[in-house]
Amino acid sequence: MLDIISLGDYYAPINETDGLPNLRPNVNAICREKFRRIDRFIQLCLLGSARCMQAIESNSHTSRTGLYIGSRFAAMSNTIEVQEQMFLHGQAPKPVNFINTLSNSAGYYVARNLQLKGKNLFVSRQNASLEAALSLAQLDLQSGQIEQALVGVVDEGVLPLADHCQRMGIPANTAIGEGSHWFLLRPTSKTQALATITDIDTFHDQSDLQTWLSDKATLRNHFIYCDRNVKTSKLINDLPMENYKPTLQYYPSRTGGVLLRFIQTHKKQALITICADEAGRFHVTRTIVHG
Amino acid sequence: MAKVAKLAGAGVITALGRGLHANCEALYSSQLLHQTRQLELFEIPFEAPYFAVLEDNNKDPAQHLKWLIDCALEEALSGTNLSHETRRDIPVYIGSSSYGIGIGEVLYQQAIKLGKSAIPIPLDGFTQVSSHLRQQHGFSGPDYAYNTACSSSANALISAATSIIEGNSKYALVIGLETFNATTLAGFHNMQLLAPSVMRPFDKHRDGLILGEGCGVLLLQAVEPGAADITICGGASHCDTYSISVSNPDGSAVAEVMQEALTQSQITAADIVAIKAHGTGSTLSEKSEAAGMKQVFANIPPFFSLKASVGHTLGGCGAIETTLMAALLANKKIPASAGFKTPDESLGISPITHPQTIGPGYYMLNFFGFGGNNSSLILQMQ
Repeated sequence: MLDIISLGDYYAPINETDGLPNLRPNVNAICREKFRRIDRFIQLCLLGSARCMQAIESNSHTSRTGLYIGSRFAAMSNTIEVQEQMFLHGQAPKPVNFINTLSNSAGYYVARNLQLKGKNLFVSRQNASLEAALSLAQLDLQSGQIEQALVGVVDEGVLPLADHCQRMGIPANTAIGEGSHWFLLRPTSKTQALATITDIDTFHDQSDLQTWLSDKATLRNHFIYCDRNVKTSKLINDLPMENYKPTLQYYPSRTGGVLLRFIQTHKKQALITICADEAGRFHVTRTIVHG
Repeated sequence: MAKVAKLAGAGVITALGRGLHANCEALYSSQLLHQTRQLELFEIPFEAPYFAVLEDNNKDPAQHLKWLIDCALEEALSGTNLSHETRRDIPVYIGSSSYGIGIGEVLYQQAIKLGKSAIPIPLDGFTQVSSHLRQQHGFSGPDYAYNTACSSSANALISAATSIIEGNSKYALVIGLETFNATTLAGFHNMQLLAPSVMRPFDKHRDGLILGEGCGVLLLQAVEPGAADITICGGASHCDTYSISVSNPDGSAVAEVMQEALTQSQITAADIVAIKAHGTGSTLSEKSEAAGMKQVFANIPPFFSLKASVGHTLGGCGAIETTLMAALLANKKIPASAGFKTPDESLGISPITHPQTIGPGYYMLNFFGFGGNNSSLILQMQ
């Protein structure tokens, strides 16, 4: 089980007319240094992580903090720029663009900003990258390799939106957002926590999910959120749990934003999140919010 | 009783050949055979040496990626008998720098040539390996696609071993993969990090690295202590924020991660029999690595680099080189550090120049990457 000690994030809906929101002023305002050679994905990571750590005392920044960034696409806009430079314009990638295509460049800047020196991982598992990052953090906390884990799940909005929808395998008219959602986690203890993540799991199929859910169905004050409702709608609707539907537009890391908003607004209640993937598996979390 | 992470199966394919035996034989002979890759798509075309796996005639990068995985996986699982149900539950830890980028490049180029509406990165590159493992080989447990530059599959291996040691899994599958793509070759070329002809790790005249491709697969199994020939004892992974492209040249960050790996494995520096260095042939990074080794070891054990023979396989090198190391341990012989001839007085240390016979004990493997990502692993041979 993982205690959530602190939260922080950034979220914005994206539309073609207005373009992408300018993140630079907010990033400069919250970061210790004015980082120059950074792309949008790094900006998003810096913004969310700094907001999460800003919410707690500075003595909580220990040298044994592990950093875990989950994302489906990582530095997509920068990588697109590199691909266009190469294949449309015949230019080799500029060093700064090339190095920022590496997903862990964002981890480097977050670590530098927060003065972290411990484990620093980037992990991807489609729309279940939050669940993957939480699992790795839980493992390292369990083994004592780290004392606390800073876990973020981040995906940037990319223009043109129609292309990005095609990339994500969703209809072109889907309303799109972008987000950077962060959680500071420690092993469950008697110290005061905002919430406790009790379950992080992957089920092979709907039958396994149903068995797990049936154990939870009798629990009181439980809400449920399903990232892709299509495959599980009947199953979910048959459960005595209320659907939780915050107004967040679509992006792969949305589950992070859902969990964060639930913790902020639903004291003494619990949330089950379900992410169905293309292989028919289900990635789940269960979180109890404290008073 | 606490379990240990036994290396229950290993398979590899590199530019040196297919399988552990072929690779070991080539390593013992310090083979330095690479090809040249030309990139003509740029205003100023260039060519660079590259360690390609030539055995596969398939030009389709998606098929080539799958073929590399299939070759290494077949060898890794050859001595095992995993049931369908067991495979279904095994967590899969993947480390790569390239993932599906080569596939995306070709699709994008084809669309541009056809005059169609061309979308850069038209697919979800991170899923290419895990999807193949699920669909073709039945590994549908939780998957983790690590992307931490050159330490990607080393970090995957550390997590997999931790999962076993902590009793969370009975088995864990680790894949390290790198495939050719123009983005990476052009990126390293423009950063002026590529050697013109030969990699010379730790040599006075070292002048860069040569990229390579390949795949390494390790199957880890939870067993009682003492019940395995080779085990992954543990490891450590740190972030050095000195610079995004090189570790602190004073060696302090490298020393910290090596020391942490020793601590995690409950051994001391004096227990290490030999070290597989990261050894990329880059001027600055070897300064960091040498300085770090000198801080940790009062007497530096025999050490060597594998990269002059197999190329720098970037995110795949953690699993590929650990797989090779395990095979070398099984042979009780480590190779000379290929490409090394002239000691560099400024480093103050030199790798081994002849194959050496080795015995039971602990072995350190180091992997350092862009983004300050440094990892160190400990293997034990009984």
